[in-house]
Amino acid sequence: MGRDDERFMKITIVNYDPKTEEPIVTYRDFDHSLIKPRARNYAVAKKE
Amino acid sequence: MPDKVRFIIERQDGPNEKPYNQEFDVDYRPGLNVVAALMEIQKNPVTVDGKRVPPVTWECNCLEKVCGACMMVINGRARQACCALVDEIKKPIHLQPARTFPVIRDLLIDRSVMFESLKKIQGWVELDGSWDVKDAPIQNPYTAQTAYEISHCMTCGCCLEACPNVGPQSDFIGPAPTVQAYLFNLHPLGKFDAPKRLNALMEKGGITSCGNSQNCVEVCPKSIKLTTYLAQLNRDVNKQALKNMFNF
Amino acid sequence: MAKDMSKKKIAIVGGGISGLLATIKVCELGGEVDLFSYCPVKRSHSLCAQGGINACMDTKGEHDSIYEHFDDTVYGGDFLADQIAVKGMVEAAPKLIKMFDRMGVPFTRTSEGVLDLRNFGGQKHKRTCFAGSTTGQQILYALDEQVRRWEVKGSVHKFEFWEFIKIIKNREGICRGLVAQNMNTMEIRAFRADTVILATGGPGQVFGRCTASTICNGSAVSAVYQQGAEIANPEFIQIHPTAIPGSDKNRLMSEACRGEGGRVWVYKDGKPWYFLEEMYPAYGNLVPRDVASRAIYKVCVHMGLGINGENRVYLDLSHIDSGYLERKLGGILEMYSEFVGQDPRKVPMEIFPSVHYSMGGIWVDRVHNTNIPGLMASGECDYQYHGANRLGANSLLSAAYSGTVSGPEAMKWAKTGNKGSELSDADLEAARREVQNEYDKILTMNGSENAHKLHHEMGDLMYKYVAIERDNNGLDACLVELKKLLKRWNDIGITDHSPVANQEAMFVRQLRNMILYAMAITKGARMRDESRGAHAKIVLENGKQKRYLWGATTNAL
Repeated sequence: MGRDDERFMKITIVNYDPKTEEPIVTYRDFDHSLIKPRARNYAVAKKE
Repeated sequence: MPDKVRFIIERQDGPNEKPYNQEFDVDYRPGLNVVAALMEIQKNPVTVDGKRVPPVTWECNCLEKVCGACMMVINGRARQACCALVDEIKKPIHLQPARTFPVIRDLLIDRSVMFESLKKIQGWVELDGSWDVKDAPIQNPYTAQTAYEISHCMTCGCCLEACPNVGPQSDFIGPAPTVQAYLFNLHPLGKFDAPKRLNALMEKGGITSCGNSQNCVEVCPKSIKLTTYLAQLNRDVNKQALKNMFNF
Repeated sequence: MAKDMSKKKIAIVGGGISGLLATIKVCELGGEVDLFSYCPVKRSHSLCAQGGINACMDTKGEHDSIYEHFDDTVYGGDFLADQIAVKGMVEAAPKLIKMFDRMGVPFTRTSEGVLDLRNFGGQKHKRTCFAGSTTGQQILYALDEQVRRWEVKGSVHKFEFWEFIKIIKNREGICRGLVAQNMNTMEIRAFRADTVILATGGPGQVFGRCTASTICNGSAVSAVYQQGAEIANPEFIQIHPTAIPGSDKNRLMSEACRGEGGRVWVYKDGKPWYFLEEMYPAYGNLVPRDVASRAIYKVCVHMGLGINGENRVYLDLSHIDSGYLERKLGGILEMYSEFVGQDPRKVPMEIFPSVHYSMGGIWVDRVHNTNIPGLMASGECDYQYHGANRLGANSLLSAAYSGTVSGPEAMKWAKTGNKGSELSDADLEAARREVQNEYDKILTMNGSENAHKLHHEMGDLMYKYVAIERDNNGLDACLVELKKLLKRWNDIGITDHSPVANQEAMFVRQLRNMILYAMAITKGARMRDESRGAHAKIVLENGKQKRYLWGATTNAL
């Protein structure tokens, strides 16, 4: 699978469910306003 | 190599209880060290007589010989247990607590006295605060290398255990905390308070209690040249005493 | 002297770099600290950090910039880090280094006496300050010394060999204290605090063998998770590419080895194959850790090219001048010789990836408040700064920086926060009693399971399903297995009933917390249907791998 910014450029938030003792997963937005996401590729140098 | 390694462990149920020995066999594997063997005993705490007993209590953290926690007496010598490889030591392997320090239980000891001693020698730089104050001073790289060597001391207590002058018969704070004074006296800001540290070492339990037995340098797991720095400190303390006397 | 009751009391749990810096900040602001730790704080796990600490010092004529450090960190983290938080950290970094220098951290210096810098992974500039190969130890010691100074002044009360058990909330749900247990006398006590900061480090022990210390069990994090604290990004577990595999622990071989010119290779067609250099010509051996670990895994597991067919590759320093190596990497080369019995100055080291660090942790805002008012988190136990993958030498930085943020913020909350009602003596006793009852119950467990064996099984499970490559079927299976372990926990039998230093009973309690945390990691990984940074999800078809794509870094693999 590749990176999926559409669905998963979000923080995973896990809450504990005391009844089942299981984790409950939701997602939350965060600040990524300063550097625009780009493909991550270490075969080539970053562009200046 | 036999498939089992025999451990003879000196145990003690509490601070004021009588010590006793118990023997355990641990499956041999290449690279096995004493801490790993104690972990195996935890998984199956059964003595060679087939008796199920409480697992052996000891202290460890990093298992890389940097934290200093797992110091104990192995075959009569104070050392870190994590890097005591079974392949390299005589069997059966005898484990004892370092009795220079109060025993809490089994191999677990109370070394708080060492940290108290670091207070006595004022083992810190008198920083104005953790804020920004322009640049830090440039340091001589050779002096910094010496500081780096001494700063490896992990307060494990091997040198105190080996020193004949540390114990109930003497109030010597021991080689490790003493030599730390030298470390701070080397630092360009730390040396401002060198007289305080040297004066502290003139007091009871200070450097005059060192009997120069040279045992410490033999056992230091970090190969710190303890005796070299003790000698240097001794000279510095004498100079300071003269200064005090003539008030200059 | 009468006790000054107006002084604010901050409870800090954990005496690693983050906890100690927070302690110093609180003391400087006039507060008082109760400092809790599993061990004398000087033995905290921060001292295992070897390679260095990143800060844009720009003293090597390479035109490094703070922006470049910022961008490398965000890019290295595959764009999952809060960028405002990261920006604050990289801007503060050079000042922190100067402070450490003044405190007496014996950094390695150039012939001119200024701080030397070295290369590190995922960065093209020399940006890593270091003290030989024991940077964490040296920074921890300097902070330990400063805290001792505050202890002498009476501002710090250390509770060493005390285990944090849980926080105490008042009726408004605000954290007002904690319960802890003395690990030697087994006394359980409740403490009041105006603010509680957790700085308890990572959960490495959840994976059994890892590069972490035995005390890094994540138990405290799990405890507050069960009390309502949110966990963020737990699925992002860093696997360090170069560790010495061991049955008791995988010992870290610093990234500094590659920073100083070390090369990774295996034999292919009878000749050395420097696969990182071939796959990633721009960064070579200095690709970030997630990328290097996956490449090593691929070469060993999928291509079968590991040394003697085993899961090992060479990390080679033998071409580098031994005097230079001694000066830059001395400590760890000695460690390798000691534990492996071979001299890395002469023969290549044999290494394999190992669980190393958790990017995820307790959710915090930018000033390190958790979602529970009055409870803060700082250092590796929080989730901030690293996104989906941490760059080498950014952990000492985030540990230190987070402490300088959480400490003052804890004081601010203590002074001006809406703390609600005070805890009465009865509240404290009720909290203590609850923990006492739980502990007493553990002492009566007489089932057939051994806690340490269960722990071993859990580590095997986590390595099998939630390590370098993850697939949904495996993750589902892992969750089922973890639930079984949780059930089997109830059937543990205790052999130690001693009232002195009962390590077995404490471990049983920690183990339950660890299993619950393992479930959070696994569930997080299961739900995230993508590959990003350290989280690489593969798709299996008929039990076989269908696609082999990792994030955008798919080319060479």
